[in-house]
Amino acid sequence: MNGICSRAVTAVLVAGLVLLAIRTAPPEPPHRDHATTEVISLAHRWNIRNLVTAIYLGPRAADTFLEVMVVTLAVIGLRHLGERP
Amino acid sequence: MDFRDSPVLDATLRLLLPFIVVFSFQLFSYGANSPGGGFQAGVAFGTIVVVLDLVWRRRVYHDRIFAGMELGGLLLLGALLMLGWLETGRPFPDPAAWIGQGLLFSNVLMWLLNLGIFLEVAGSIVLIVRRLMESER
Repeated sequence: MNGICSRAVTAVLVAGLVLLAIRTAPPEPPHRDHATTEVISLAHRWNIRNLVTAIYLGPRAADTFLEVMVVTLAVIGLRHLGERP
Repeated sequence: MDFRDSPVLDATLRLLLPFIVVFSFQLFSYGANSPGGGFQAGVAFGTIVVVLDLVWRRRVYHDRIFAGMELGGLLLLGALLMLGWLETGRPFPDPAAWIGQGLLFSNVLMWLLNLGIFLEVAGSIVLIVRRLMESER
């Protein structure tokens, strides 16, 4: 009974979220805003075509470096866990 | 019969390995001008090594190689970070000063950053999955 109740509540919540997403979705296609134009001009200035690269190696390069550090920490952490007696 | 004993899987992986390695190099090399980048390349490279480990039931290449790749990537990124701090006081140098020629080196700094990320991620993925597989045994 507990299982059926929790599934029913989950189904209602998910359905509610989906309806909310559909109702609040913008009817018109997204247009270029100031930030997009900035990224395009950055990519052009740096002579690259991939706009995603222009973001993650440009204004967000520090975040990229930190993400790399997180992966490195995971390796170090797992190594020490394995060495524990 | 275990799936790892399949001759089809064994032959397919042996044939695919060099293509996937070259493809991962293409992903990070041209990542500044086409879909791809260091992360995607590292994941592709790391994944094929992990799959080979699983299917062949042995470590295809020694851990030291991947630890070396990870260290190399880290040192490269660290060096570029220091260079940026010394030059401009911000992380990483100004990419506008590193413009090159052609599609491969259209921006040398982007290529180096993608290389560093590729080495780091590829090495890390293999080491992490190997440690997790070890701990499960």
